[in-house]
Amino acid sequence: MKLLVENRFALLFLVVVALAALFGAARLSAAALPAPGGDAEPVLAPVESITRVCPTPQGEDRRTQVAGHAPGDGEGTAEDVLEVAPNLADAAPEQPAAAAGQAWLHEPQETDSGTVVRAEGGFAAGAEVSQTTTGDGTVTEVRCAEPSSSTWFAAPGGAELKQLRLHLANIDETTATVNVDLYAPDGPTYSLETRGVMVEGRTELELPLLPLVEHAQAVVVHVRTNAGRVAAALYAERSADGADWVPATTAPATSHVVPGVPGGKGNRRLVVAAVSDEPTTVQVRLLTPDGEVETEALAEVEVAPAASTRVSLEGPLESRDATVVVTADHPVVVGAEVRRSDDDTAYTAATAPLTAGPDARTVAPPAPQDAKNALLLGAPEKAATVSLTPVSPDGGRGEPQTVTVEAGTTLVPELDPADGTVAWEVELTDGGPVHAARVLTVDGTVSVLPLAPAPARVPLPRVVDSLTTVVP
Amino acid sequence: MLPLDSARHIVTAVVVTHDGARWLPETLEALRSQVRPVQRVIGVDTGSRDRSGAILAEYLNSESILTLPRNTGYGEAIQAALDHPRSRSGLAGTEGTVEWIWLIHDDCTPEPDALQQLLAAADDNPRAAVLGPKLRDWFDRRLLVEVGVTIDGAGRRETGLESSEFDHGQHDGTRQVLAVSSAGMLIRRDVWEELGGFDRSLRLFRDDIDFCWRVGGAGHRVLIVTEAVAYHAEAAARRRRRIHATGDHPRRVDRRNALYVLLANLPTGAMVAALLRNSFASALRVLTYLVAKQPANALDEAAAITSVFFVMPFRLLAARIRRRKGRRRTYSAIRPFMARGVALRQFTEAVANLLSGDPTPLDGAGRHQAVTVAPRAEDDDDPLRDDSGLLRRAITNPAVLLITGLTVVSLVAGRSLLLGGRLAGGALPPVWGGASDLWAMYLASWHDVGVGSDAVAPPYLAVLALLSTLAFGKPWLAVLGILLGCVPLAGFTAYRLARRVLRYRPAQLWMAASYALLPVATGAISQGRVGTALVHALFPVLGLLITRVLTLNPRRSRRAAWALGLALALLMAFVPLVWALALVTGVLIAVAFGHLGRRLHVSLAISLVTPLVLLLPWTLELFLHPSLWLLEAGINRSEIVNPTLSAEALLLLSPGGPGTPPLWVTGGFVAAALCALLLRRNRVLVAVGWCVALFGILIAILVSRLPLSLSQTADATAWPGVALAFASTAMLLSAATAAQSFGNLWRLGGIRRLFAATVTLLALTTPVSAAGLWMWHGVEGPLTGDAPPSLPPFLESVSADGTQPRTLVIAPRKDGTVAYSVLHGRPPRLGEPQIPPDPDVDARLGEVVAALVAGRGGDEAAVLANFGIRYLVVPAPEVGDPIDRTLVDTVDALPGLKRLQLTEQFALWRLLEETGRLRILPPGEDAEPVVLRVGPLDTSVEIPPGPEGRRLLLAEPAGHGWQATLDGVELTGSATEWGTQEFALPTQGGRLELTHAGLARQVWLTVQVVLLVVVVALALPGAKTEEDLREQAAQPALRPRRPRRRATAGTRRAGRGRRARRRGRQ
Repeated sequence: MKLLVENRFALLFLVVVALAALFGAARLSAAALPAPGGDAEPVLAPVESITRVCPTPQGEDRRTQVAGHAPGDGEGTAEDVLEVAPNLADAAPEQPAAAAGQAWLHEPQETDSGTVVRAEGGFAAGAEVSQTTTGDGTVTEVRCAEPSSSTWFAAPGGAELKQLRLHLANIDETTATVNVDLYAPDGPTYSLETRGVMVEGRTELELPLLPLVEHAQAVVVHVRTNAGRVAAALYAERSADGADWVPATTAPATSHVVPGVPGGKGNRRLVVAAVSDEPTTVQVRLLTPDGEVETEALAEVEVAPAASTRVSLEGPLESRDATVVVTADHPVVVGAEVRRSDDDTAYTAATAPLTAGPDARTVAPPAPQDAKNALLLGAPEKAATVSLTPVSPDGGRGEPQTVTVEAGTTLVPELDPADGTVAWEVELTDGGPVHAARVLTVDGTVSVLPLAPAPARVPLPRVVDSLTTVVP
Repeated sequence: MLPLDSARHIVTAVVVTHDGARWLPETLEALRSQVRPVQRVIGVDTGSRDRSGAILAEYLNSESILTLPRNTGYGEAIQAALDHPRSRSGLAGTEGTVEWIWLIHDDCTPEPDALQQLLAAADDNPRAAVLGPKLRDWFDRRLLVEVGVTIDGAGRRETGLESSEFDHGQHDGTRQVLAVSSAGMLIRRDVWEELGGFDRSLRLFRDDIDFCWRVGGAGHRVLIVTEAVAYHAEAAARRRRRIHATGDHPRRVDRRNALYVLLANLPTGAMVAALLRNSFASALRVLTYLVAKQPANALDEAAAITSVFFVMPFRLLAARIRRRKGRRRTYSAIRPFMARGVALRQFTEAVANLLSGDPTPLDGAGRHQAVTVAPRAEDDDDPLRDDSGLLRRAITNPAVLLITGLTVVSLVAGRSLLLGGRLAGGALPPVWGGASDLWAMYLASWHDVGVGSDAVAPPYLAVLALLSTLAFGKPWLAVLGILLGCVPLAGFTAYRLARRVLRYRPAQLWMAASYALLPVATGAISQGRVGTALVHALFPVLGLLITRVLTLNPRRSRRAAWALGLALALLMAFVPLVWALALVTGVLIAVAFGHLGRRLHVSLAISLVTPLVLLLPWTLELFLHPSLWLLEAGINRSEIVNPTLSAEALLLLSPGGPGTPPLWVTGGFVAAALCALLLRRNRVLVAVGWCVALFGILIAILVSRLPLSLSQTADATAWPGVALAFASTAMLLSAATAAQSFGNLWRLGGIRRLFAATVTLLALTTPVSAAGLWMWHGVEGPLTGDAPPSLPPFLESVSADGTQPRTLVIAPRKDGTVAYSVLHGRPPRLGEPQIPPDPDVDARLGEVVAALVAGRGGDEAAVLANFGIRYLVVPAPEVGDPIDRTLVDTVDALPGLKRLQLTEQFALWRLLEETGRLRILPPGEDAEPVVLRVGPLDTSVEIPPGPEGRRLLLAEPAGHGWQATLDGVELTGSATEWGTQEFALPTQGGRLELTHAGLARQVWLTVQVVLLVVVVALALPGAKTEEDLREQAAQPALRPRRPRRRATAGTRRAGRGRRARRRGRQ
């Protein structure tokens, strides 16, 4: 104390020490704080209801089934409801399954307006629904789509194409207005027929696209709505048997993974479209069961601005199953075409990966009894452990089968189905990401269904009740 | 020497004395030594109890001395003297002689040539009947007292001089005036006799004006002769002696006589006007005196004005008749000499004194009135300061210059706010509407805000409503005044505080300027933080009040404690953190000054508890949700707060966010404050200041780092502005305390001079660069004077019919969150951000918004209809290209919505389903609800008959006192699945009355008003009485308990008041 009073610098020293302490406290506490907003836990909401629309089945004298499965552990408060009905205002819905957790198969009524699947509670959480059509030694499968305002397709082309039809289903009461943008190898194609297409409520509209693209080698289709929402599906037909649904692909991005390119003979082609107004360079990597295939021809693929192009993959692949990884310097849209013969075509498309968290799971919906199931799992970055659980129609689960996908490879696991297995639950348990697809084989013909994550819980944006909305 | 025929003039001097022994000898000596001697002298002694009579006898012939009773009036005394035979004696009037009377007060000393000059002027102006000398002060003979007097419409006696004006001859020149003082007045005797002398009713005060007025009315002239000089002590008027001519209090007599003179002399029309005007003014004055806790003054004022109505009418009538007889001239001859604009001048003078910090002189320029305060003891020998002249004082007064400068800086910086139609931005909701809207909102028990809420309106709304009412009912004016006025006001209050605790004028000014321009101030303005701006401006007032609590005598200290409580309540209503800081300070004071005992503890308890009680229902909220302590008035938004405010910024007192100057601005003064620690003088105070400053910084760190736990949908980050203002005040005071010794350092020269110069320069960089930068950049924050409309004009016009359709506004933010709010066809108001919505219903709405933005589901439109929402708005929409999907596309794709417009400002959709606040839902699954047209609150509407089982849906949160009656029969209510209110409706129709019970709110508001009135009455300071002054003088200088303990008291509290300190120096 005496020192404090007498020494001129003692007080200054003390204050400086205190300031330094405060400085340290402020520094450390700032470092300890979570970054604003960024790391906040996303709000996960249980999926309580889904609405899916299956397009009108194509092909004659064939058997069509709408099939779906949900793991059935919905945490929401909604009751378990499953209703399948034609997309008509006064249609009586049918309930194809008794209890949540069962895999169900349903033969839809024959209408021209598609089929609407509404599920709530246990039937909705983590559900996946698809529509398969078999007969005459052919099989086609299409994922029943959610009505939305934006859907992308990467479609094949070529002179041999007979039909390219867009099915637009509007399940709401109000009319939807749709614009269809087409990206051909020569650039965007404009036509009055694809502008402001009115889709009346509770109807399905077929829009033939082939006249608009003529014999383009590849065409990328963007369906967007100005008002209302539609469920879009694209049907490509080369011959009566060589026809299949083109799966919807992910929205434009600089990086895509196309899973489920089945092995075997025939053409395999990649369709790429650059949607930006910049010349785009695309790099294509192929992941096969034996590892990554390097090809100079695919290292740099040039795509003209706002145009599509087609890249042949069969040379490097040598009949192996594959997963295609596409990276580009500007956003692109990609899909793949598999043509084993004139009577056997299949299409696959880029899909979102299974990643740790709510998006770790997906479902391969129940397949027709005479179809052979195969799963193609591609791990482009890190090795992944995937658990596969067979599901029988009564909801019974078989022993889960755990497989490991090495990094940079595609795995086609030997499935070991128990008796009566119709569906598979696919769950990423470790590593990843994994891109999955299911290949159905009937009488040697194939159809591919890319498996997007089917989360039981979805993240919602954080909402804040605040007048900041209207105050600058 | 003037040519003068002394035989032409016969002058009779009349000396009236009343306890005037102190001045009388000099007066008589002066009378005797006149160059032009008087022919006769009559002395009148009105019952003096001192030596006056004896002194008269020493100088005058005993036959010329009259002795009259003690209560004789001045006019009577003169009349008695003139009736004395000696006044006629000797000099028989020859042809052409003029008889004069020269009235000499016992305290009025004429210069030797005074009479000579007066008579010379009389020779020059044959029509002059009354002449008066220039009066200077008896004590300081350079000071002018009177150069002619006049009266204004309110009866004020007006000399036309500044207070304490020096005589440089600036008012010289013999001229006609309305009146001259009776001291030294030279009157033609025939006129005196013709007019009957002074009015007998006016025993004292205004008798001279009344007489001169009558002289003017009779066609004569009243002259002020400035060559003649007399020195006047104004003993009676300044209460240097007691008055016995009348038994009443001089103030009452003064007021009554003023009214009498006006009403007796004015022509009829002007008289009625004067009567009305004075009645009104008197009522005001009575009120003012009551507020100032001066009941005696109020009584005098009331008695004076009532006597006009109840006592004087007949006297007045008689007086008017008398005056009519002698009148030769109309009022137009008098009017040019009447005074005008006296009230305005007195007001500006009071304001100027307030600004410069001088005590307001209660007897201003127009003295010779009854004064309410005894003259200060040092009045007689105080060395006179050379500060006369209002303008001059204003120009040379540093405080006035400081505040003017700060005002200019504020206006230049705030130029962008001054123009433009709508003030909004940052934390400030659009300021629109009138004060009545704010009042209505504060008083309401149910707020038509968001999904509806019965939360208590924040108390700051009442303060803003009050301020808006004072600002002519314009909230924008009040808010702009707070925002732009906070810097000059803070300068003013900080200067007052500095004057109390610092002695060194430059240090005071530096502290005030630095405080006013703190980063907190500019930040608060840019961010639209009305609360912080107000707190910043009034923070020093808390310090001032604390010093008053500590230093004044018990009674006035207690009043200051109540005032402190009131001020604290005012600031706490805006920024609750102030109370927490005050609590800590209070504890420190209680420890440091514990020896003052129970009195201080009670005072502190009063100051701290009063705000809690006054703001009561809201205070409970604070204790229930402790996070609210850290927030403040206005919109709490994260983007204007820097959540990871750097440690450097906190130590350099910058609270961060838009509008704060670069960090280096405050560097200079922090460095200077650090240097202050090196000085040995005032060490303890400097150390105390630093302790408090460090404590304030610690609080600021806590405020900016503590996570707030509020509801899921709330959004808030605390801003450490007020805590830093607290810290800065302490740091400034410690630096300024040290600066007091800079003068010495400079004189010592050498290294010390260098040190002082460096530190001074460092310290000066802060206010100078802060002001410069602020003016250069202007207020460039989210706050703008020309805010864009909150809602599409289309909606506002739709809402004009009173339906006020609910509108959901959704705005995605940069950090990925989505803000939403529900507006009711009008922009939000001040205060709305602090009215929390019903949490359950709001959470449901939040879920819907999240689903809507995420683009999942599809039945959102139907759900929104359940909340009564008809429109959906996305402000400043981002319009995506075909590839980039935006919120507009997502909402476009929602079924059940129809887009009405898409502009750069707004995207607007309408629900296809008809919906509203009140709907009837028929039974059945697909039944379409029927929408009833109702206003926003309680309503009465006709209901048609309908089927069994129908329900009445009210889109307000359920269970908050909603009552519905159908033709008087109460309906049973319940909650819907969305948490909104519904009622079961019978089949028959009828008149539906929908009401919201809010009795508790009304009862509490009444209690609150009563409490407020009581506290204000207790807090009013009242005027300083003589008793107070005596007690103050008797009170020993206040010191903390032990010298070391002063360290904990804080500089602001340790101030001991000027008076106490002055004594300490002696």
